[in-house]
Amino acid sequence: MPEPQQVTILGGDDQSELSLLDIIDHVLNAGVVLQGSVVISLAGVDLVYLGLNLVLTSVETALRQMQPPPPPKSPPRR
Amino acid sequence: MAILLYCALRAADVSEPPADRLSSDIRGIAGAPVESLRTGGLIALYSELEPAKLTSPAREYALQFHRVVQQAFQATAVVSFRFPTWFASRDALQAALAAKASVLEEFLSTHADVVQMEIRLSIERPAAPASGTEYLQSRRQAGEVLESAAAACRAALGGHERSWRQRASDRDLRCFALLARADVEAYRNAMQAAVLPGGVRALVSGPWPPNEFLEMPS
Repeated sequence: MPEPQQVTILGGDDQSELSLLDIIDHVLNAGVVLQGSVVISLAGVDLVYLGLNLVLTSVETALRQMQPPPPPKSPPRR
Repeated sequence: MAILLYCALRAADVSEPPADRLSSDIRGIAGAPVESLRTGGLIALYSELEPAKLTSPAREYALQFHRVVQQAFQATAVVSFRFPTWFASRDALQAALAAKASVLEEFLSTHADVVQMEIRLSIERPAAPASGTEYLQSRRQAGEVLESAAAACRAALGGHERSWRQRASDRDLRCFALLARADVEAYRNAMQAAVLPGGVRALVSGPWPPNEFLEMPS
């Protein structure tokens, strides 16, 4: 018999932190890439990419932290 | 100044320049106007920005980008581009789009009435396996459980999906369902009642533009 699972539905007017982080993760990772046309030589673009790398790291970390902790294990019987 | 690209849509799907409609309702990143550029049968939405002046946290810009794409996506089928995609000029954007216009137009034409739902499946694993063998065994078992969960998520669609894809990573298994816009709410309700293997957590999001189902030639 499967244990109770957790299904979280995001979307609509959901403004929870988890929803916002999911949006950011999606925007950074799921968009179509137009190969060979991204300009990397403009002043200031490097700063934007660096900033986004930091965001990406914090998104992944935060999403992992959003997962509820596993149920505590029962102490062994003596 | 540089061009930041949001998304593309088919010119045939809109009855008026979309920028006129969008600019009255929403602003682009950092308050910049959302403008449009036509390439053949494709319309690209973009903003002109000065990257050096984007000094707010990138998170804010990512959310603003999302709002622009969603505004267009609520009205018609779109393909959204990865944030951030920059071009030096409108001409550079036009050239890049022209190279892929036929693929994008074809995709938008055949996916005009569908959206993408995403399900992120994860399972807690032992924090510190005793050995490499135990680690590999744990990983294999987790993979099998997640595959079973993915099958349950797909079953919740009741055969209504137009297509289904999965992508495994070290951390999770991501599932992508292509379905009609009208079926989104029913799928959300079905997922709420879905029975998944023990220990599995599911994060359901969407609808999104169906980017996962677009195959861009290199």
